[in-house]
Amino acid sequence: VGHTYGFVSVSVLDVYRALWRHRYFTIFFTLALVLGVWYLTKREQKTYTATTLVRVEQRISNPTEALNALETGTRLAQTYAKIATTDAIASRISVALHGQVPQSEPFGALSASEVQDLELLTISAKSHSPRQAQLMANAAPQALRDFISQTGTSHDQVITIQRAGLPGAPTSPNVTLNVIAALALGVVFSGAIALLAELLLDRPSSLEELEAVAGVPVLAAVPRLRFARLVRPGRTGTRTGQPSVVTPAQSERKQT
Amino acid sequence: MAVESKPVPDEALEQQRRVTSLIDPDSPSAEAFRSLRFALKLRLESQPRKAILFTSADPGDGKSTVAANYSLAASLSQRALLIDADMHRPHVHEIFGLARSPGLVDLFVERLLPDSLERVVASYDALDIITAGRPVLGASDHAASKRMEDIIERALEAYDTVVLDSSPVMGAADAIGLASQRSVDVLLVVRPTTRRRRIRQALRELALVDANVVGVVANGDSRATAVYTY
Repeated sequence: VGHTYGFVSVSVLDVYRALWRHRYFTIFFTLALVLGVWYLTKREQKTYTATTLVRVEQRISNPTEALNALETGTRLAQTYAKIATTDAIASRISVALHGQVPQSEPFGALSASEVQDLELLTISAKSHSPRQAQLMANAAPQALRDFISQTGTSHDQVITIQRAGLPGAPTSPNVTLNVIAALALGVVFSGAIALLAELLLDRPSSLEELEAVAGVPVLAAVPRLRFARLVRPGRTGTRTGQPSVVTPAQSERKQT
Repeated sequence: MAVESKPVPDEALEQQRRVTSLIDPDSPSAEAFRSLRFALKLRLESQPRKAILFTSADPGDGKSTVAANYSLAASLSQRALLIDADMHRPHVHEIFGLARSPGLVDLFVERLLPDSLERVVASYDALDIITAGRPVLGASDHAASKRMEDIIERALEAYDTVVLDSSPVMGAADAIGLASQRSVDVLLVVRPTTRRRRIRQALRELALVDANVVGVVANGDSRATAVYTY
């Protein structure tokens, strides 16, 4: 399958050949990129995430309100997902964990999302320390309760379903993911560079291609020659009246 | 018959030695030139014998080196003559350590008859050589002349193999003039660094004068090294 773009005709085979010709460059470039990404990822500070699962619901005073409370529960989860990430909650956690985590740590470290169609909410805390991430995640439900009691919405209640455990592995950086991405990017970029080089250099890369370009056969391929060295005068060159002295060296034969 | 000329000063000889480009005819590198001879023989067997013109698209592609070594290889088994027809930047005399003049241009300037070829022939072992001759203005005008045709035909009568080393096609008119001679077959010398565009341009120029391009010689091809070290 060939495509012609102006004066340049490119076929799938041309692309394959170009990539094959530059295979060492492609391998080297990709390996360098992968190693670079791996090294940088390894040096990057690890981040741990701890997550608490809570239920948000409205207190009901009689059973007839139960259905209505269930419907509003999902909306409440959405509302408290927003509230959980505010500085109001972060400052409460900061006060509650005074001495255990740096004061500024909870700010920006919290995230929350509701579980779809349920009155459940996951509150996550990120930290470079797994212990601090766990402490913040577990302090978040109480901070929400304090917020509720102080803002007078006492019919809303937050129940902890599952406390955050100590995270065993960092959530970022993801070394495997980064290395795979670097591998893919390395192959794509080096391939693109190889193709570009082919187009810019504009040189026949094989004897077959040279024949195709010239339209006549390649009758011989002369290797890089090892030239004779002059070791003694007096061989021939009759016109000069002096020996012109070219004695081929024996080195080439010795090497073979 | 070789003619006498002034000795080349030692300093000049040293310079010539530095640029020497000959290989040992018994070395593995010489195998490539033997292969070229064989390929040409097979290809041109059924055609009238002609001189082989080595040219290239650009300067520095190694045509003089290839022509010199090809001639040297041919001279081992045949009567061979190498003519330096690059009248702009001749190299053959440097390669063989000969004086540049008298040579081809002198045949024109002194209006010598083609039969006087022997007067400007030098030799290197079994190979006879006509160097470019003295530098004169408008020397390339002779390349397409009738006199040049006569010289080539006279050489073909006296030798089994006649090799012409010319200027690059894109650099001067010599090569095109010589290629237009009916008693000349053309070989294009190409290096791995020669651009496709330049090869096509050179072949287009040669096609304009109906040159008989019989093939290409890939010079300095690293892949060939392994083949010829067998």
